[in-house]
Amino acid sequence: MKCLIYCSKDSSRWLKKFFPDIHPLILNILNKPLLEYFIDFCVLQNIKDIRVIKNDPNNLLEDYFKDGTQWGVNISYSLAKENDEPKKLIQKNASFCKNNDIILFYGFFFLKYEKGKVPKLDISRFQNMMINAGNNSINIIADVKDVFAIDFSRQNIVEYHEISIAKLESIEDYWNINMDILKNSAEDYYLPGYNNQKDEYLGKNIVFNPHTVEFQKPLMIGDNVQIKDNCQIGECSIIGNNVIIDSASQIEKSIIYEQSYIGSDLEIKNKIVYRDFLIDPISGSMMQIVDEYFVAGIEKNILKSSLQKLRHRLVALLLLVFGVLPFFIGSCIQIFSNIKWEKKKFFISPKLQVHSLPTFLISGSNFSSRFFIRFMLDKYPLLFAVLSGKLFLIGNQLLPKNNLNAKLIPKMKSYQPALFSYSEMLLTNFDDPEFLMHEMYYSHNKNFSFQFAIFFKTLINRFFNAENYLQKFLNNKSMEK
Amino acid sequence: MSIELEKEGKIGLLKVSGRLDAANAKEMKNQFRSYLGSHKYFVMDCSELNFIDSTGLGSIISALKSATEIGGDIYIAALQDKPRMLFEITRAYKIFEVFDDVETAMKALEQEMA
Repeated sequence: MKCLIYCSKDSSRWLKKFFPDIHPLILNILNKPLLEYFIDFCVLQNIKDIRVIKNDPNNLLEDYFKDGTQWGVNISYSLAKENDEPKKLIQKNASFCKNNDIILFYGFFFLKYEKGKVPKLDISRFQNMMINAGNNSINIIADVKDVFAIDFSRQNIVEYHEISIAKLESIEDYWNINMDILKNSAEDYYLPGYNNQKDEYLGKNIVFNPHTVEFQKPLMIGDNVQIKDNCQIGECSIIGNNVIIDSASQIEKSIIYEQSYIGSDLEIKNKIVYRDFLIDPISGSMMQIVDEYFVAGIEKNILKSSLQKLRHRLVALLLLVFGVLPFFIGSCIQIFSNIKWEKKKFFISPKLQVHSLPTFLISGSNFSSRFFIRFMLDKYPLLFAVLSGKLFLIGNQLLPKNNLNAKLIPKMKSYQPALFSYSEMLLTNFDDPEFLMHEMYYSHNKNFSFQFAIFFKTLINRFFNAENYLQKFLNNKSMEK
Repeated sequence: MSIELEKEGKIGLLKVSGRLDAANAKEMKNQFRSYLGSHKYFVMDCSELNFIDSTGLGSIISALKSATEIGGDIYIAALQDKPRMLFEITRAYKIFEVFDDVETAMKALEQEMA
């Protein structure tokens, strides 16, 4: 038996809107091109000769599948018109088909089968049979002698439980098929991955911190994927090859196509991300994200994100160096005053991860406490946490561990705890109604100049209005209690 | 982008249309501030807002911040698919009250004010 595969342009036209530069047969279903599922089926049927009929002159398919050696089959290619009927296709490929049993996959669909259960096609039983679904069909023609004598109108339409057609007529179908297979029938197919276990399909070179990243099965992650701190990869996440998911983002029931970048602090649920396009499969809406730090092609953001972190650490290092002398003086004053250091627990991630950090305790306003505030000596020991990457230099207000803050943090767009914050600059207390608003405002407006302004305004305000800061400090301390 | 205060009364109905992005976010902020003299409660009709980026979203948050500072509020109504996606992925829906249509948003805000 030989196999003909033809993806008609009509049936796959919808795809162009969402994946403009992808050939329909190379569209990934669970990180694997659609055509590979057909090839797997052929291998199960011991079909060695496959002909892929194209209706466009580009070489995308040839470049990817070449002659099929990698799959242990012989793949050849031919051309046909956009809407050639099955009969015409057999005629146009007469030399390939002659004197052979032929199975023709016609249309654009996903072939459903169970690799362990699909029986060898019994040609005597299935000759001149057709499995049909809309404009798609699987035609089986026994012993092709005269290509002009085949009468497709007389083929019997059958239902065959071991093989069926899953329609791929919309972006919702595409998303549904991916979710359905991953959740219910992943074991029926040969899926990519190097460390596959039940409900967990993992590629090679996946970089993540196991202490801060959460996973929920079933999921599939491709090769060369970086998942930054505090991300949550929820159930039915399909992440393609060469993807970066930046810190504190949440993915669930979504397909992140290969070569995509997901910015930090985003919530991607029931979506498809293709490079810098965000697709809602239910409504069919699609938008190109123009902000590089949300969703983008992969190359642009690696450098930007790394530079930002490097910048924060460099400034922290400078502050550590220049702060040595004031901190030494402050420590001397501390001996004769009522200031004490104590380790307290703070939330250091949106996932409510807790870490102990040094804070200083003061009971009231006096010269030494104002000195500490004025020269920011209360922040000095925390600079080490910035250097080690636990805290940001400028970001969200660092919140102590308590029930109130545990409810507050999930409401924020992002929580990047830092030494300097917009709320602190504005002297907002934790219990002020506008506290969350200020934090959200910061998250949506953060950029280099805004952070620069927060940093220097806080330095100046602390120096000249130490008493106000001290009162805020004391108020927040009483809140913590 | 255009922003118009369409309805007078206790609640200002803000009609935002076109693209709200980095090119006009500042204009949006300034125009909104000028409305704060006459109103402090607003419903933002986004039925004709067909594109928004992060700076645009920042300007709406900034407007909400300005309104809440004087004890007011902004309800969002009739978000189209594309702007809605941005509200979803940035979790902005957690700080705004988002309604399907202007009428319901107006009623809900009236109840809130009562």
